[in-house]
Amino acid sequence: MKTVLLAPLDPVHDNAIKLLRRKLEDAGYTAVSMPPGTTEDEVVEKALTLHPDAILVSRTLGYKVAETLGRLVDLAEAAGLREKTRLGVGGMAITREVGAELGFDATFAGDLNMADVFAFIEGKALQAEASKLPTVAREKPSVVEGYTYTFKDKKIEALLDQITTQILSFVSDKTSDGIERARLREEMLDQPAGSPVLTQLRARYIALCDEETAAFYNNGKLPSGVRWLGAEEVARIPEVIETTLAPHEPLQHAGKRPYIFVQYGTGCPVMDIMHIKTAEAWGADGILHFDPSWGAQREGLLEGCLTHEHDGTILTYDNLNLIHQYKDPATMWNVRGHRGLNTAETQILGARAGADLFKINIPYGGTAGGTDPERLTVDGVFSLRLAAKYGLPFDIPGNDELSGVPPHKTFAGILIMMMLGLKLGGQPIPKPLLCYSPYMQIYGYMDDNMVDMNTAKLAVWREIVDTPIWPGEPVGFMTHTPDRVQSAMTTAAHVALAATLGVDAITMASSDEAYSKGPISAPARVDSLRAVRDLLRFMGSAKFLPTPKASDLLEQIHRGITETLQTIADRGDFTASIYEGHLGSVDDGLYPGRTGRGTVRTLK
Amino acid sequence: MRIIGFAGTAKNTGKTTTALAVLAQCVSANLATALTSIGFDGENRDHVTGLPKPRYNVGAGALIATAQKLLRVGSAVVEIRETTAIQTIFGPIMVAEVTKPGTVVLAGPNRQSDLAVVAAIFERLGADVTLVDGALNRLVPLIGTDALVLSTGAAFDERIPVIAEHAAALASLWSPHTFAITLPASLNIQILYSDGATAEIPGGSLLSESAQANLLHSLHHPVHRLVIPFACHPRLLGLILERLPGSQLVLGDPLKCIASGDPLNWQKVWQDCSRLGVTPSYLHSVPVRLMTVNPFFPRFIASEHRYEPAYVNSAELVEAVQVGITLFPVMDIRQPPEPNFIRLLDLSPKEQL
Amino acid sequence: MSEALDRIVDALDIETYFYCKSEEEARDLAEALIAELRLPHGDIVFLEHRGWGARVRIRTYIHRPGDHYRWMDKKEEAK
Repeated sequence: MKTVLLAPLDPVHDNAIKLLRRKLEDAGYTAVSMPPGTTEDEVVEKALTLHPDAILVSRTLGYKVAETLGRLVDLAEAAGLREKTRLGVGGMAITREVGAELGFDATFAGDLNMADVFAFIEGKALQAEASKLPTVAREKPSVVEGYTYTFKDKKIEALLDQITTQILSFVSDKTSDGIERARLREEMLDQPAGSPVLTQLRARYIALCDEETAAFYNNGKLPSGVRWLGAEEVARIPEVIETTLAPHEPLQHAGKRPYIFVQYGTGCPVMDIMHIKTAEAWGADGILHFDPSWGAQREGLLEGCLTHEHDGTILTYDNLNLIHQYKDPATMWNVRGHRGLNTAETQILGARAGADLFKINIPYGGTAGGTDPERLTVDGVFSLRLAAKYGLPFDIPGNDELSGVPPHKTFAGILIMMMLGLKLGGQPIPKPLLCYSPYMQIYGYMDDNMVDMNTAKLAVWREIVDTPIWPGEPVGFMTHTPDRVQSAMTTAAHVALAATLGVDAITMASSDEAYSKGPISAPARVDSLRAVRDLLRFMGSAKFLPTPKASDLLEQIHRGITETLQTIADRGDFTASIYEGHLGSVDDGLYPGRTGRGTVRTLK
Repeated sequence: MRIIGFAGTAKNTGKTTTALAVLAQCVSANLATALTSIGFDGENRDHVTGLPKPRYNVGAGALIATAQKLLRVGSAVVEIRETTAIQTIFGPIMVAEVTKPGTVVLAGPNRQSDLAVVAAIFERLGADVTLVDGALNRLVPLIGTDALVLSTGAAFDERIPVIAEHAAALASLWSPHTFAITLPASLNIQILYSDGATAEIPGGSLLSESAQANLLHSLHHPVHRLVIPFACHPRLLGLILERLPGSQLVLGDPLKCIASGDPLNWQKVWQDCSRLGVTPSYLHSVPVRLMTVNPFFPRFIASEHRYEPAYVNSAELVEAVQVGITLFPVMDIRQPPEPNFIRLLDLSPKEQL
Repeated sequence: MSEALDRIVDALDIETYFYCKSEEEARDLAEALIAELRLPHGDIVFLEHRGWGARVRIRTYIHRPGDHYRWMDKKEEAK
């Protein structure tokens, strides 16, 4: 094993050296450290007897310090050490420029990255290389790994079985233009460009689109504000992002989970790529594609690399492909298709472009998502079959809570989706929303603190079923303000609470979450990721301590879920239950969606 | 090809300004010129004082050696001629030719052995002259050059007598001559006793009191020659010299000596040598052709937390430094007349000699 | 536009604290600052007045999604 000589070259401080020594010894190196106040001569003299593979010096740059460091390097060369011993320096204000001026082989600026230090000692790659390529090839993690989906609450399991049997029976003889388009798209993607078969398939596809979408295919008419992405812009991406590649430094401090996801969808795939690379560089594990809201309300999707100056990046195979090409291979990628008329086709595009996760929620899409419940039930079940076919887990966001729906009704809807997915061979992931929802505000459940209710909302899942849990979307919803620090802080607090409750993944916001007059900015992503990193560091393996009220809330939610499911089971008609408000009523601020009403066809 | 190294006693003593002046004359004399640096040259402003720094503005045809990631930083357009295996903080060292004039950022080889590799490439690509900019107070990599230009000035110390005393001590390092016989290459301290016996002490350097005690222990009977090929602290030589009357002391190189200890301490060594009849010499030495002095220094304005440019009297400075130095000329290159660097540095094309 | 501005990926935020008597005055000052700094389409993201001053964050987008991004432009560079 290699030997490393550590020297503080500082009259007083050697904390960095002590830390380095411990970490090097843990990694199996022989680390010899010198005390504070050691001179350059003593370091070189020690090296002459020790013959270390590397000397690491820690020093804060200050008055005449550069000269001291420069002399160390010069003396090391005068003593003939430099041919075999590599010299590294780290400390406050030590930049790469300073390191190069002083003649060091490597600099370690900012937070200590041990992967860089090991690479340097091993002489495998200098820091310049280490900062360009991940030093450890990351493997893509799995959110669902380790869960059996065994129901602990047998009553709920029985109710879900009853409800989903009805749903599957209801959809068994039904189809829609959305489903037929998905089937056509799957065939189209197998055809070479320009083939006559493709032209025929596309003609059939266009026949199933609404007028606006058909106009795109027939007359090349782009929706308002949309433009083609230039070939030159696309060609420039690799060069532009080359400099942004950085080793992945996990945000997690204690353990590997929860995996941290961020949402993107600036409207422009190129800007998305920059934001994705930014999020990756600051530690995000996964990303979620957000499309424009109009994409859910139209029959049919567009084709090609398209950009526009509005929220949400247009869902096309080419846009997804472009993004997939540049995201880190180990970054988990969720393409959402949970709420609109193109839900089924979205799963096809996502799967073909390399997505790792889908997002499907019929009750949410059929209410707050604006799509007719009957249509989304038919398209949604078809989508769940696709998720199972492609072997991709799907998550079920509980964002209907934002309308004012109580958690137990939202969770009942999520559970129905879970059971549907399980019956069709899928791997569902419930996404309870940690938020300051209207329901909490009206009924005062968070008047004292935000820990009890959020703890109850996560703990209830552990009582019901052995499932991964992924709070979103994003956590802390409605606690954010346009103040940057407040926003990053409240995101971090919710992430930390969820993390200490043992969840598997979390979707977090940027500090622009509550700013509505412009797109999310790259610096806003960094703000929140930095805050999360530090709060996870702060918490480590420690836990929040909820008040006894959390147990009451847990019991209340659990009971509410059972009652809701009982009502729906008794009603015997899932879509009717949505229309009638059993999963969220007009009183709860929820209205059945209308887009696509009357478009479900019964197969002969 | 001639390799000229530029070394300073401190930051802001005018290394780069001098190198730029030499570069301009090389260009005028139609010498194919190559540039590199053992440090990092190319920032517009000093990273400590915030004061402007001279930039390398290079004409078409010049060769440069710098780290890969810095090739695109300046305004000059360059064409890569060779990629070396020398790794640095900013990536591998590349040798490139300037095709469109502009500024370049130089961060080249930082070790003597790497400088030799780069110089060989420059020579193969047809360079007549290679200019190597120093870095801060670092000198040792410049052992691989053919001639040195030293720079000192008020940035080293604002007191003219202190500058002059230090400059004279520095110059004294070049009074011992290079050892006449080539010794067998060794990494160790070598002792040749008067009776012909020999001994070696591993390490090759003398930097601590324990190393000194170890060496003293070996000086038990009369010594003809002591060779310390690497670093050697002058303060540790005093007791050693007392055991070596009438012998030869062979040190590695004046630049290694400067890296090892203060020139003022070396002056004391030469005095001891003289008193004890010890003949000091070097295994290797690069001649100094010129010393430039710079009256500039950054003055700190404490109330405003910033530096401002300030100057000592140039004529007084030159005169004070000249008094103690006879081995090479001393000048402030900003004062007329403009020195003829081509002649001073022996850069004339061969056919004109 | 300067090279540094060209390199801003999307938003440029300016954060400060105004000496002022009211939120209204702070808003006027923020808008005046937007005009003085000639920030295109400058917007007040956050403004909160307490006591004798106001915490303010102003934003302008140097590049919006879908724009031509000048940070992608090629500089003259090594072959």
